[in-house]
Amino acid sequence: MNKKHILHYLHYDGQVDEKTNQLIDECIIEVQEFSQFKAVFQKMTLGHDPFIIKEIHLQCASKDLEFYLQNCHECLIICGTLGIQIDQKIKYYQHIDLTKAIVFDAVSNCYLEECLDSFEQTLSLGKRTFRMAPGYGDIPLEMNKLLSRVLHIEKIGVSINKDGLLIPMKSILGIIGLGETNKKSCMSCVRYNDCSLRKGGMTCYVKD
Amino acid sequence: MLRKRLGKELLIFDGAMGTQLQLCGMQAGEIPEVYNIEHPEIIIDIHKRYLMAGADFITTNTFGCNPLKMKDSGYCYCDLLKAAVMNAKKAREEVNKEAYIVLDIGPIGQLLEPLGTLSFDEAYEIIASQILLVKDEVDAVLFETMTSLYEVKAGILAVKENSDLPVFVTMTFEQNGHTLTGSDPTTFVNVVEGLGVDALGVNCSLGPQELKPIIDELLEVSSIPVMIQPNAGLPVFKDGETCYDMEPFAFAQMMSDYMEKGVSIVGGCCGTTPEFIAEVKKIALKSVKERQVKKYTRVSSQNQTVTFHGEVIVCGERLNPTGKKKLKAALKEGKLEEYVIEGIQQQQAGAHILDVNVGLPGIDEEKTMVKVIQLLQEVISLPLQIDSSSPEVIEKACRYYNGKPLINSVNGKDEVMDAVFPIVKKYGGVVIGLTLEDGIPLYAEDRLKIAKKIIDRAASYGIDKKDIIIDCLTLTASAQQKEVQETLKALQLVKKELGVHTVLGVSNVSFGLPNRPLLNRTFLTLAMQAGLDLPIINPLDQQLMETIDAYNVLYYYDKESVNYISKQSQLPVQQASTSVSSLSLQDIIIHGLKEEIQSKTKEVLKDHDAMFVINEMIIPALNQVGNDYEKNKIFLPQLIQSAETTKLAFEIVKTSFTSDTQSKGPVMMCTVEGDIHDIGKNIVKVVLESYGYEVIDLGKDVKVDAVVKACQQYRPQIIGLSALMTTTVVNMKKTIEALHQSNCICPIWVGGAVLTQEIADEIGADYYCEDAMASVTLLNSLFEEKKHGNKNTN
Repeated sequence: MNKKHILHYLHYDGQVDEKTNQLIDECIIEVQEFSQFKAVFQKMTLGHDPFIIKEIHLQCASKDLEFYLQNCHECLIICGTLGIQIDQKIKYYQHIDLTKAIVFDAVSNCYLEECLDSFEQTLSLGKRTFRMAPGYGDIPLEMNKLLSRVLHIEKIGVSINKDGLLIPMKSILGIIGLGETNKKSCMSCVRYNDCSLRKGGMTCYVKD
Repeated sequence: MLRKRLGKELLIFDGAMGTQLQLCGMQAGEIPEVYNIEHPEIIIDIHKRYLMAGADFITTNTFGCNPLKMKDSGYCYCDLLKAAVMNAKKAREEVNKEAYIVLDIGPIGQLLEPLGTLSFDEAYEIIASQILLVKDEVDAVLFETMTSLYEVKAGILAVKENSDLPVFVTMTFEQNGHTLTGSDPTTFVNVVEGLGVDALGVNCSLGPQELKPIIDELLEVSSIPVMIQPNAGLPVFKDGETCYDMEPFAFAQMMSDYMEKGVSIVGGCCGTTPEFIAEVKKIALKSVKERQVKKYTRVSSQNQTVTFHGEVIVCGERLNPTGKKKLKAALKEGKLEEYVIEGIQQQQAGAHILDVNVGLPGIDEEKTMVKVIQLLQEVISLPLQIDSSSPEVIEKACRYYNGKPLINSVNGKDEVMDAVFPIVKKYGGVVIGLTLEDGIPLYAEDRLKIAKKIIDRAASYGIDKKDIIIDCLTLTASAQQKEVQETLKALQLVKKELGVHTVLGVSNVSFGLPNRPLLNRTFLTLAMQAGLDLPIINPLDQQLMETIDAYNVLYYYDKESVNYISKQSQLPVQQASTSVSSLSLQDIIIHGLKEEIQSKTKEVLKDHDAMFVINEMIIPALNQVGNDYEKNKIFLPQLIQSAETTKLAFEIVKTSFTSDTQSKGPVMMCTVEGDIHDIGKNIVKVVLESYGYEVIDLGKDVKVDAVVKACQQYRPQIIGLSALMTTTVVNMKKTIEALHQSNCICPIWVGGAVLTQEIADEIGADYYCEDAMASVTLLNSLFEEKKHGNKNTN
């Protein structure tokens, strides 16, 4: 796993101490052991001007989403999760060792991203945008409801509560634009100016 | 009568509905239940084709027909539900008037508490509302594709408390043999059979071949009819679509093998069509093959079952306030997380079951028991033993417990048995029977008589003797030395004459005598030899646990001594170091050395008073940690390590306070309604505690009125609210408004990932803190101001 990303989640911006380093290694092993990564996805067709995901007649007033998908004619809706056992483990450590809980939480976040990255690689999607998720930028969180129904996210044990939260906590529901003509790049991101990852020399996506 | 045919005649269900609707043109994102009203002809036609293929049952098109999932459908779920039943009735009328209509209920679509946010009662109400609408129009209810055993329990209760309809339950198991929430087939059977369903089984997720180990396990442990509805093989992805490529004939052949093994009801799930059902019908047996099922005493949590089968089983006794200052205080002050920590320690020490008792004068035992069970079950997978003398408490605990509980206890008194046995029967528990009536009989033979009476009375309530464990009662050697051996004799008699399992609270024997552990483990050895299966003991007593390990070797329960060798061959456990660290208290805090802090704190308290230790040692160390954190010299894990270390130091320092005037608070904190992300709140809590604040933690997803009530109960000096998402900030606002309306005058501070000073102002909070250290600074200044204010007024 990419330790740089884990340290970023823990807000490290200097040298990691030995004790924390060991704790991270311990958590990496446990997170991998207890995770039950699962994902569901579906390909959809896009229309532009006005923007629409055709099969589900989804029109949404998100400038960011339109911007990200402007060069794409298809998209992939995808949901992935590490499963409820990881939530349970994080909760468990909060009772007996909060320090470990914090590190475990950060490692889980990274692991989920990495699992989804590897899963994406197996789908032979060709050129594509990075994943974006409702709730980021101006993409309305409300979109989650329709997307989750289309994907049948309950099949992988994910649900959305009445306040729009994905449960298990370590779950992602996102959209990837397909057929993107440009390479994935931070330059095309709305968070370009305030991204702490970029400042630390990292990206939130994997370069193909 | 359907119930009479079940388990005798082989019955056939229909196949997939979704697959058929897609063939009829249903698009992604469309809601299948809407077809009940908008295209009834399509639904009726699908039902008819299944009936013509030979199905005995029609499953209504109502998989997701609940108020939550139908919210955006444009229709009321009630109308969709009624239309679905009407469609099924029409199909039945036209094809086979003898067919049964089964109300289909799939998962509600939200995860239940404690890991989710939907309450057990809400789940119950949703399902009950569905049942009440159509109970007179259908012949049975099917819960299918279920992944949560807790939701299944709510559903079964909703059907049974609102109708007399037969209930079938099938869960979905993954290839690892567990449901998505972690239940295994044996646990599933143990729980739902106890709750009195009419048939149980498996559907979806896998094909008939892959389901083999799961079906075999169900057939091995279930004493009620087993039902299977596999998919048409494993899903394959073609052009971004999910397809199933098993042929009807091959499917039927595999189903035939399961019928030979004793499956009672067969049908199909995703990918199956009327052709599949027709093939199954062709080869279906007329009657159900008989199975031999061994009966075992089993207790379960959601994802773990303890089977009584030879090996001695340890029940941890420590979750009980009797004689425990810390737990008493925890119950009184609402700091129930102490129960969880104590529970985790017993689990780590090797307990198999945990006894839970919250009986303390002045507390609401019913409410507290339910809360403690929920907190324990969130993180501990061991089955629990519900311990109360109040039938009302037992009833509530059994209702909200996730699994098949062990109930402690009944005795030979008629009124006790008549109050508790109906609860045991209804919720499907295992119950401990104490061999006492008006007192404990002195002689073994008399205790045997009471045991027999208990078993007979249980039978009259329909409770099998496998669900009774007899307690022959340990007497105290210091008071009744002569009678101690009567307990051992009674154990032998009960085992031999009645063939049930036995339990004893072991440590009573040594009360009032010196070196209690020696007497405890000697008595335990004798009792195990006499037939004790379930000692209730302190699992943290290592020698006692080792005695059990040795016994399991000598009685050939621990085959090849695997467990014994693995424990004993480890290097001798280093006794906790009694030497005191040479580092200073400050350095220990700064470096977060939890294991060294308590002995050091005790040492410095010999030479200094508590206030000196706090003001001159702990606080300066904490200040340095805080400064280093703010200057990015150390980071969050180190900050928390130091905070947790300091918390341990405070526990020692507190014991030397003459009164509690030194503690600061109480400070009340929670994560607001709808939000389960509570790690941030917990970080702030630990850091505040390390600065000596007394924090009352209400937990996560705390309903608005619960915050208001707690505010009135605990009268905090300040309230902290946390939320992670924009959607839950709305609930933060509601909480603040409700607090203001209830005339709460204490200040409210807020924090969380999406909050800013602007949002805090907008929602009416008094303060906003961006992190834990900022919260400390805020509270320090507020409490300092208050102190001066008080002085001035004085």
